[in-house]
Order: sequence, then structure tokens, then C-alpha cells
Amino acid sequence: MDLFLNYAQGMIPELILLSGLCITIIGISFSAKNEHFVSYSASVLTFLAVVMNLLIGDFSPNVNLINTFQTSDSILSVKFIAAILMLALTMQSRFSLSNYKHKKGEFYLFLQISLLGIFIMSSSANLLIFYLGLELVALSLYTLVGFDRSSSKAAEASMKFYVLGAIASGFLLYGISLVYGATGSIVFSRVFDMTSSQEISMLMIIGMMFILIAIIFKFGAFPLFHWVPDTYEGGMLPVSLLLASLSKVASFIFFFVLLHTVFRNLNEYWSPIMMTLGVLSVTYGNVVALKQSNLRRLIGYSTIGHVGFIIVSLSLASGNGVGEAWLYTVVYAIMSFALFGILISLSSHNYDIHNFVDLKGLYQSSPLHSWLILIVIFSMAGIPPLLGFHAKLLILQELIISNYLSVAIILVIASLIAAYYYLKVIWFVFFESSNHTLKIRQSASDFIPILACLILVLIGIFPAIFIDLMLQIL
Amino acid sequence: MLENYFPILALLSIMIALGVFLLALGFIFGKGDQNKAKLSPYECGFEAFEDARIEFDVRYYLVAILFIIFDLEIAFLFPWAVALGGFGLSGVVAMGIFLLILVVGFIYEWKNGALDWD
Repeated sequence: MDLFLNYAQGMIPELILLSGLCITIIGISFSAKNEHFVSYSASVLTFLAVVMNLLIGDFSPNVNLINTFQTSDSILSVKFIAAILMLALTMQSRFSLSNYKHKKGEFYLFLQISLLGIFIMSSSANLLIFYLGLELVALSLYTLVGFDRSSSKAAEASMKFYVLGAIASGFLLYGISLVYGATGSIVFSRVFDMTSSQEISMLMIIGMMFILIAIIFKFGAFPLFHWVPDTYEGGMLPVSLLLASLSKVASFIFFFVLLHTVFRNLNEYWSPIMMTLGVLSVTYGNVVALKQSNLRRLIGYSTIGHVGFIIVSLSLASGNGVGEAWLYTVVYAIMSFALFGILISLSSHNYDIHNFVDLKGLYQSSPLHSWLILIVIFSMAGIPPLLGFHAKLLILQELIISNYLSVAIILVIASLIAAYYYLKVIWFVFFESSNHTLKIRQSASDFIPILACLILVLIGIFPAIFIDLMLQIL
Repeated sequence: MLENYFPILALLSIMIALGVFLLALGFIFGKGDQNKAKLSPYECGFEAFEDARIEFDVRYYLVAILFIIFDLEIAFLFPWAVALGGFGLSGVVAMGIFLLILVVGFIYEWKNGALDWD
């Protein structure tokens, strides 16, 4: 029994989440009419409980349970941020789902499952436990992308995502088995010891390369990005938001846990590859985004560009590249909360935006939403004094300090290219008028986008505290 | 390093030799009076070669999923039961939680009508 209690004490947030999940399932089963309300309130309460527990809970700092599960202060901070993002996502997706005609209680269930997956990923101490968490996130994402059962685009995107994702996790499992073959262990600390003490075998490096392929796929970086635009276009708006924010946090954890803790000694092998792929995805994403007329595909391609920044910063083995990548991930999540939050809010007023032309006359319809879009887009393009600028600046600084001047120059040029299509969005919103305008009033769905934009502006003006906080986490 | 894989190589070569041997036996001693039933591969009631887009009731699929859930439950229960002596009370509690989660899932599918055939 002692063993069991030891486990339970180390994983209280996960247990809260799991029991919340069970309660939500029972709630959906026994409420036919108001399942949306039941599922929504159960999920919000669960996430609130998790956030409160992580905030004020009493954790012994370094737990390591028979090499399967570990916690530390930085892991708890990562979990805390993920839980807050998920809470905000749940609250915002209610406005999108209230227009949805079919059964919708399960939507929040999958959000809870994916948060549980992120928690397990971030505190795993063992390659197979890690794989379990990764698959929980991935499986709920596949399902959520195809959640809109009346849309054939959603079905197509979900199918593509599922098949490609299954291949990617096959690569990951094969890599894990090769690493096990080379070291005789799947425990992180033992694999790490093997890489530091012995001379490194070829088998180990090949296994690591297979794992690398899975990481690139989960990020949606350069050669393996083809699922990104389709899922952004096909899924419902809250799902695209999930893919842009929490899925990136999960990919960040994937990269950090495997390459920076387990294979840290092999950085001379993975660092140049990841650096090259990061630079390629920044250039490719931003150049291809120029030709898009569909706004959501455009956001998808611009995500590939942003992910490139995160990967470039993560592949710096020395210096504080990891901290800056984490800052960029969180800032990108806040920006996508603002952008998709605005789109969700507009679509809840029957103002659906698919293409650029749908943005025409938005300023006449709703000045508030137009100004919010201006703030987000400027922040994504990296215009000071918004928060997106600081995130980009720190990464460029770190690159120049670590003697990667050419990489920094390419990233700056790619950001300049990106500014063109970002400004095109602004042009359509403010300077093109449309004949049929629809008056949009403010509503509760504007709360989270306004909050996110306020964060972008205020922390952008006074960045020091926030940046220090984020850099300290990792 | 590579000599560890020798059993696999041996297994592979025996497999290939056995396959070739059995096929050769049939090829040499077979009478050669072939008809349609002998030549077609056996596949439970379906025509072997036809349009792949046949109508297939989605309820079979649902039953298969339900079967897999409970099949996995059994697959966990047997090794757990064998090793229970070493686990003690914590093993019982852990399995209780696992079964509880499965029961929750079962309630969900029951209430959603996955068990009704019509």
C-alpha cells in the first residue's frame, strides 16, 4: 500500500484530471438534453481544480517513482501553464460549439484527455510512459479534427492526420526499440548514463534519428508539415486553436524531454539537423503562405514559420536557447488565443471568415474586432513594442551570441517576407469596404481575445518580469 | 554485437527453407487437377476479388471495438492474477482503479446505445 500512496502523492494533478474525466463521462451519459452544459461545467470545474492544485498544492519538489514518473519545479510550472491555456480554450470553445448542431458533449472530454496526455508527457521518466502520454494527446487531436461530422473537409483532414500520425508514431516506436537495443534500458536516466560513459554506438544514433523524425512530424516542421494546413482548414475553430497552442506546447515538451535531457550528449548529431530543418521551415512556411487565399490555410503555413523559430532556438545546445524557445511557445500560444478567439467570436455572430475577401468591411462591421486583429497580426509579424517582437528578438540575440549569424540573417529575411501577408490581412480589414455590412455588438465571447491582446500590449511594453519568469522555468 | 542476432538469422533461414520445401512437395507430387474452388483463397463467405467498396454494416465495427476493450481487460487481468502475490494491497487497488475506468467507459457506451442492435 505504501507504494501506491507514494504514487498517488506524486501525481495528484493527474488524478484530479482523471477523476474529472470519469465524472464528465458519467455526466454526459445521464443527461440527454443539456449535455453541452453538463460537459462544459464539469470540464471547467476539473481544469479549475487542477490549476488551483498546481498553484497552492503542497508538492515535494523532486519525486521519482521507480523510474516511471517524476516531478520537479519546472515540470510543475509547465503543467500549470498548460492547464491555464486549456481552461481558457474550454471557455472560448463554448461559443463556437453552441452553434454546432450535432452531439457536442464529448468535445470537452477530448480536451481533458489531451491535457492528461500533456501532463504524462511532461513528467514521464521512461520512454514508454512518454509514448503513452504522446499518444493520448495525438489520439484526442485526431478525433477533435474530425469532430464536425457534417463537414467533409473535417473528415478528410482527420483521416490524413490520422494516417500520417500513425506512421510518425511507428517511427517513434521503432526508434525507441533501437535505443533499447543499444542501451538495454528505456529509463531516461540510464539511457543518459549510457550516452555519457560509453562510446556511442551507431545503433543508438540511428534510433535517435528515428525519434527525431517523429518530433519533426509532431511539430509540423519543414519536410513533414503536410497535415498542418489541412487540419487548420478542416477542423472547427477551437480545434485549430488547440493545434496552434497546446499541441505546440506538447511538441516543445517532446523535443525538450527527448533531445535535451535523454540525448543531451549526442547534441553534435541532432543539433545541426534540427537547426537546418528549423531554418527551412521558417523560409518555406513564410514563402508558401504568400500564395494562400484561404485565411485559415494561411495561418497554418505561418504556424510552420513560427515553429521554425522554436526549433532553431531549441537546437542551440549551449546558452539559454531552451528558455527562449519556451518563451516563444507561450507567446505564440497567447497570440493564437487572440487570433482564433476573434475568429470564434465573429463566427458566433454568423460572420464566418474563410477567405481574405470575407475580411472586407470588417472595420465597418466591428471596429473593436478590427483593432484586436491589428494588435495580433502586428505581434505575429514581430513589430515592437508588442510581445511577439520580444520573443523574436531574444532568439535572434541568442543566435548571434552563439555565432550563428547567417541563421539569424535568414530568419530576419523570412520574417520580412512574412510581414507582407500579415499586412495584407490588415489591408483587407481596414481599407477594403464591402456593400453588405453586418453590425456586430460586443459579447462575452470577446473576453478572452481582449485579455490576450491586453497581455500582448502591456507585457510588450513592460516585458522584463514576464520574460524573466518564463526563462527561469526551464 | 551482431552475433546476438544469429538466432534470428537461423530462424529466418529455417522458415524460408521450410516454405520452399513444402511448396516444392506440392509442386512435385501434386496431381494437377485444379478447379476454381481449389485455386481460390478461402475467405469467410466473401468473394475474394470484387469491388472493395461493399456495403458492410457499421454495427459489426462497433461490436469489434467493444470486443477489443474487454479482450484487453482480460489480457491485463491474467498476468496480474498470476503476479498478485508480490503486489499486495497496492496491486488490488491499482487493478480496482483500472476496472473502475473501464466500467465508466462501459456505462457511457451503454447509455449511448452501442449495445442495442436495432
